[in-house]
Amino acid sequence: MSIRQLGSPGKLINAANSLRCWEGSRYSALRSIYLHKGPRVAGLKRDPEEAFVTHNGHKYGVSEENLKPIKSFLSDKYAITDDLALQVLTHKSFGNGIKPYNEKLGAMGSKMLNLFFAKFVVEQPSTNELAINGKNLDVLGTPVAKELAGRLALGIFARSNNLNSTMFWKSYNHGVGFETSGEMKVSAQMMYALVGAVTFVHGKTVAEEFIREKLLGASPSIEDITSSVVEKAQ
Amino acid sequence: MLRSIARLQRPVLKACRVSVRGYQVARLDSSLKTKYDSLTDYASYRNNIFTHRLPESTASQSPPLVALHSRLNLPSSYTLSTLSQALNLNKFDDGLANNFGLNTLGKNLLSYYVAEHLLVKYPRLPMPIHNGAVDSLMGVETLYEIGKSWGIDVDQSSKLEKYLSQESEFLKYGKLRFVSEESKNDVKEPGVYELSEDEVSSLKRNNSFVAKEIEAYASAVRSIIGGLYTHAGEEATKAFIEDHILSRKLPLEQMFQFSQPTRELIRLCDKLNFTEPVEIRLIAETGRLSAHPIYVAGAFCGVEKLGEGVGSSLSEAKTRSVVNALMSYYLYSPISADGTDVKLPSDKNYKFEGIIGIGDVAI
Amino acid sequence: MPVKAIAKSSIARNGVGAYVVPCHKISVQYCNWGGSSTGLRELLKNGQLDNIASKKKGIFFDIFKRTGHPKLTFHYNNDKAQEVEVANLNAKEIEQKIQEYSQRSGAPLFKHNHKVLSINDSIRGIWSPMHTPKSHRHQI
Repeated sequence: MSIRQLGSPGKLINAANSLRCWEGSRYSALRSIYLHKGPRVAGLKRDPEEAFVTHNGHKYGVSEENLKPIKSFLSDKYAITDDLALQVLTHKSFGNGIKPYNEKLGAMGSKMLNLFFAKFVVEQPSTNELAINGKNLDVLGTPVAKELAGRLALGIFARSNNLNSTMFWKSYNHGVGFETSGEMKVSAQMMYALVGAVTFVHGKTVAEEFIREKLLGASPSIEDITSSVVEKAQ
Repeated sequence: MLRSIARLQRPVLKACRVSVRGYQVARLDSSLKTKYDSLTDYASYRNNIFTHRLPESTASQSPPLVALHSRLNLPSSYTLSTLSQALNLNKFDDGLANNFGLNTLGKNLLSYYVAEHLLVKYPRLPMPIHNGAVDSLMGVETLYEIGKSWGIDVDQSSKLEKYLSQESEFLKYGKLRFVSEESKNDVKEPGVYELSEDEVSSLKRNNSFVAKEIEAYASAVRSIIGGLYTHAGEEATKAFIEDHILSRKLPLEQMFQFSQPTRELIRLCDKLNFTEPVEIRLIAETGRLSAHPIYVAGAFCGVEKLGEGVGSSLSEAKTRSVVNALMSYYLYSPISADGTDVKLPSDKNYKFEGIIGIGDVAI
Repeated sequence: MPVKAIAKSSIARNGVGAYVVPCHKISVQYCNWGGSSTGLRELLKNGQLDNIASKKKGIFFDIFKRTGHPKLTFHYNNDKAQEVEVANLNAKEIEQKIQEYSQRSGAPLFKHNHKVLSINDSIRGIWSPMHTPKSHRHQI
């Protein structure tokens, strides 16, 4: 049942019409909707003060505290607007997807990262006689090449750089581990979205510089994390 | 009896659930016999089942290959041996390198440029439609069609047949090679298509059937794009993808299937922080007692008309107006200040002018 | 799930962006003995066919000898093959046949008697009697 239908029929009339209908009496366009606090009741709209808070008490919104980790990670060179930064941090699972979330940014970022790392692994000069025009394509499709832009490596990267300390998302159970609760996936999605946001705002060339400088240049770099992940799996 | 079956199934289900939640790290394909010095020494990787690439002198003697090269207007830096490799899917064919790496590279390039095009041009497409549109532009069926339109032929004759018809040995290097030598000798019944083992297993796994030939054509097209990157660089590859893939007509307006459009519109207006409620108003009608009444309804939010629909009943007109409102929101395409298409992130002198999708609504 | 996608394949528009010649292979069959192949033999001997082939670089010319009347087979990218008999034609006429058929799309010829042939929607839309002001509507 929609909230709109909760009010009396008279309240559904828009402001311009209502002024004409009831001349003299002031009728505001703002509808008075009851905002519910406390335990969830089906059909009642929850108070945003209470609904848009993460499990660890972070309040949704553009604030210094929320955006500090990713803003300092991006630095001035790759800066994005505050609203976009908040969108990067918001996952589809937060607030039933009513706030702008990072799915489209993630779609751009994951494709960007996959392409970047595919180019990155073939660009080193090789003596392999199967190389095409000096590019060794034999490395493509191997676990390292795949996992460089994989969810696990990016999730761990986000955690080790403390980028996922404030994320707006909801797990089926926040108490269980990094992988099981879905935090790894959501953190990786956030990383994809971060790369996607830089691509959207600054273009592809700058985004490639960003990946080179901030992901490959960090310590531990995404390369170190990936190789340890792949070694462990084998 | 029933109880015993249920008991048997339980542990199997449990095992499935664990593997879904955990993350599967990619594994090395042992059939390629890949050797490397260290994990991150990318230059040292070598697939040892392949011994050599086709020499350029051999490739240049294959007329269909040379014709394909010029038909696609490929730059002269694109060697014929790479083009021939792009058409080779056989893993165990005299040690000749196949298109595995080229295919992966081409797939990455295609995915990026197609996604970028859609994300910038149609920023508000719901994710299922976005994925459908990606498939529509670069799915296997579409790439098969493109491969066909490039005039690529399949090498289906066995060695014996080639010998008997005195066919030049170079001819096969310009053809799509995915049929193994053994299966070429199989007796084929006209009108009967025998599924290969891969096809049977894919049918069981995801209940969808993609013929080996279709997959092979798609792989060849991706590989040709990958090969273009290795020889001519990314700019040329982007132009090629734009010319051959993104120039196709995308029937986006036929791809939507709404289940509860009115709910979706209300929820969407909520997400967009519209303060006024959504209303459906009757704009015109031919008269309810007329032989075939027609109604025109509009979906309004305050004084803004979001969409309009014509129907032969009130509810039809209402649904059509709501769907129209949703479609005009989802299919929005931004234009730049000077009235041209907005620039893509990979364009030169890129300036961000469009919008970024804020995600779909849940109902 | 609010909205689902209906799978649709994108539609090719050869010539928008890139143009790929639809005719990708021409099989030229001639006979070394019969009189009906005289014209084709001349075309092959004087190097005229080489000239044509070097001008049409995108087309693969497959030339083979077989007894019987000479024949050209044009293979198109819609999996159609068109056979053209060139018995008793002279070199000039055969060249014309090659020019004509190598430029076709392979689709059957049809009489085009519509004003517009398009896969796009009309940009003007359709006139509706319901959207005129009430005073301007048709009165019965």
